Amino acid sequence: MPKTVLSVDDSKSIRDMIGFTLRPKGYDVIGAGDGVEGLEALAANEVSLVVCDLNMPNMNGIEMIRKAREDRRFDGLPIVMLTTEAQKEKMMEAKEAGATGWLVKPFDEEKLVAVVNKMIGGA
Amino acid sequence: MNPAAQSFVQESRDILEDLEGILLELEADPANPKRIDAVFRALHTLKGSGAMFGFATLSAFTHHFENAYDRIRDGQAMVTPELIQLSLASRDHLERMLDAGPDTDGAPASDPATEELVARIEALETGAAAPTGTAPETERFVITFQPDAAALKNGMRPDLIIEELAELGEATVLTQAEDVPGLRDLDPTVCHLSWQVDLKTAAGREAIDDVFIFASDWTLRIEQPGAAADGAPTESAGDLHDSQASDAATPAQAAPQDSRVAQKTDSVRVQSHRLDELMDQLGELVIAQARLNRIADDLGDTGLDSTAEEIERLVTGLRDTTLSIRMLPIELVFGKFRRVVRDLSTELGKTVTLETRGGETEVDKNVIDSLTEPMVHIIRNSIDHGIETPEGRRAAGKPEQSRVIMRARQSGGEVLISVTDDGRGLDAEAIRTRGIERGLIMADQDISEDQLFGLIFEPGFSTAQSLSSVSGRGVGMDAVRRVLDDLRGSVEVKSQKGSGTEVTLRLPLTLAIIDGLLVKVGDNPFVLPLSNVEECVELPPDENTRKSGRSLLRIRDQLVPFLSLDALFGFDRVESPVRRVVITSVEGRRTGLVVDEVIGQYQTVIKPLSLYHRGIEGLAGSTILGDGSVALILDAAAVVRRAQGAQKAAA
Amino acid sequence: MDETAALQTALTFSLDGERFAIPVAHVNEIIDPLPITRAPNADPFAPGLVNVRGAIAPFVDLRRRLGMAPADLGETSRVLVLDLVIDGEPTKVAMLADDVDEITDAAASDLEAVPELGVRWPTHLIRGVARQDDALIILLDVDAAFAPTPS
Repeated sequence: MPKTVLSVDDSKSIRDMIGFTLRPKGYDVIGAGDGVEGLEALAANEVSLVVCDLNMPNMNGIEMIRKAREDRRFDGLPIVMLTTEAQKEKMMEAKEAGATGWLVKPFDEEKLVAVVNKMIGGA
Repeated sequence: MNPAAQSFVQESRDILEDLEGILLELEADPANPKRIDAVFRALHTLKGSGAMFGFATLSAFTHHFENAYDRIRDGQAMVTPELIQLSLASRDHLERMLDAGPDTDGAPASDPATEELVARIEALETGAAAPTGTAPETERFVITFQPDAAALKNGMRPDLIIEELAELGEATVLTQAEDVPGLRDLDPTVCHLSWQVDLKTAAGREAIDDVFIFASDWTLRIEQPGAAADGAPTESAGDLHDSQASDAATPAQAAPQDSRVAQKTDSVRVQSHRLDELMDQLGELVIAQARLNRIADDLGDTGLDSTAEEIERLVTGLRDTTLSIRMLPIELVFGKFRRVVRDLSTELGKTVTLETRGGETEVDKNVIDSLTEPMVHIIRNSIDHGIETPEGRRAAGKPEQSRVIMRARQSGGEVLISVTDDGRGLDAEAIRTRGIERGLIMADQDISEDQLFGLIFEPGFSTAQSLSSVSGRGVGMDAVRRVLDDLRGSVEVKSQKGSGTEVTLRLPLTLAIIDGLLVKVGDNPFVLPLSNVEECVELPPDENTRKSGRSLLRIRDQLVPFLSLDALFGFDRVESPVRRVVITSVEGRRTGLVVDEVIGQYQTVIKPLSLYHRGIEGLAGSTILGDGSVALILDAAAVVRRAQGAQKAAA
Repeated sequence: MDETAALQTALTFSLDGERFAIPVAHVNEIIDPLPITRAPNADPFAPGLVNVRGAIAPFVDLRRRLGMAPADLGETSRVLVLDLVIDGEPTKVAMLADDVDEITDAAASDLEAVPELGVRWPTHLIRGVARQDDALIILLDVDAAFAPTPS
């Protein structure tokens, strides 16, 4: 069974880019538009990895990570934060909330695949 | 071995068992990317976790094995029969390495067997990319790290980190488990292990830093011991990252196990002896409940009656649930035979494909455990004696490729397992001749073909023309029947000369509890397995006067032979007004057993017999009844056989 | 087995007027006679089974092996429940004794070799003979005396 990656981002183009990049590598990619939808998607699917944007409507990324970490079902689930260089503090905040790693925007496809492989050891 | 290493060994055994099946499937379908991936993943897991649990030698060996499949994945190489052969050999070697236990000193020791296999694996890589050792400067790093308390919960994977390091060069991994607390204090979500990786790499310091990019808050030390000062790590050369609260009291169970658990949260691994204990206690409960019912009956108190009924209902539910816990898919047995069939057919120069059906059929685990041996005999017989050589098959106008089909299905309280081959079938004449030789039948005896085929299960019976190394030494099929008897099952064979043979095993779903019919012979209680009982009828009074021997009873236009159990058992006949005949069905044949009283249906726990009574043909076990007395459980098949034997002797 | 150590603490019991001893280590309990379920076609040495507090134990008839006539149950009859190892399997075995006498601490030196003549039982069942207050106590060889009859 392919591993499922959940992309939580309010930007459809980012979600699409993650999907187009990872699907040929053997991953299933599903999307969610904000933190609330993200948590719902987590509960409804067997997700192996989350790639999560920081700034989103309804529930932002850090809050979503914090909520996910409170839920024992998601113990050990790797969550990658999407950040920009300018957000160093946010990065540390995310790490404290329970993010596993981060990906700095803008990133290329190769970098994305490398980070995903690093987190979950390949498709 | 520490508990983490033990669980690694267990997990690895499962992986290796699966791997065998995958390799054999891959052989049949060499281009299937899913199978190639599955092999790669299995090896990958072994390599990654092996290093973490002190099996560095195993890990290093697996690395070579894995590389071969990585190259296939990348399209640089192909799956060949040689590769499969070598992979199976390597798989077996890994099993031996697991048996040997963890490395004693953490440094990969080499042994000739390992080196030979590695050399053969590497020899496969003809024309492939040159080994990585061409890089100019190889540096040595000693990397020590311990994940922080939240690392596992937050999705970090130390095993992947170790893998990444290992991919940079030649790595020796030492797992430090001193900080692992006792099981009572162990928090499985916290990593209590730390690791020291001795890495020779040409990739440089930056590449190592990169591996730890998301782990900057771990306790991490990267040292570069001088080439001269080989050995002892030097504190000065190290650089120490910010070591944020590596809480001493909460160090760790291992990560790969975590990931496995995460994937299968809906199943729990239980040691089988605990299930046996549970079953044992349930058995006691069933007996106590029978006693309660009896007491309630005697007292006639309605309150007690309804409580006893309630308890009976609960016990029945508990029994069913407990039994279902013990049920395992029969695929576990079938799976073992892919390899057996492959090895045997290669050895004997025959081309055989094995098909399995109904592998999901569930059977009690104790039955599963006992099934391997009889199945081996049956399969060996099929391939060795049943299936012709390719020339023989061509001459008979059959396809060169022969088929062996293993099927399982559930039918009532029984599981039927059959092994069918499309070989030459049994030779009825040869069996008759042999049977006469062995004194099993008389020269002029009128005997049906089915009965004739049944002779192959007699001890010492063998008609094989040539004694091959595989079977045909006069042992085998009688062992099949013996095991089946012990399992309260039966075996039958059907065959069509020239077109094949089918051996069918009938087994109870579980061994621990049976639904029985409680009867009395004289004053002695006996339990007959209900699965063998068709009906009970009254013994016609004129038949009652006969003293012994077998007679025939007409039941709805059918004549059924019957015999008196007291005569068979050597008990004195007691006067009883209405004797009854229990009509049993064994292997499709009906036989009536005359008893003095039929008490009723009785669910009972089977207790094994001691060595003093185990050898008595016809007894399957014993049990304690509600009134505290001991009853013997009969093996209907063996009783009928015994009766036939007695009659033969009398004739 | 070390014969000198064998008779240190033994339980003595009577069968057909003779006193026998077995090491107390083998004795699990002594209980009143129980109903016996007859096993059909069983070896006469092990004719049935009994329920000892919820556990099923084979019932053996030592009298038969020693060539004695069957006895009726009497006032003093008791069942000895023994813990034995039969062919490597720990087995609880029940046997009937006419009477259970005492626990005795016979000194090892009291043990005499089995006289070649003058004993009416198969000598391989017996480990030795001890004299106590002029009475003869026969120490059984537990392994041999309780071994299932080879079929």
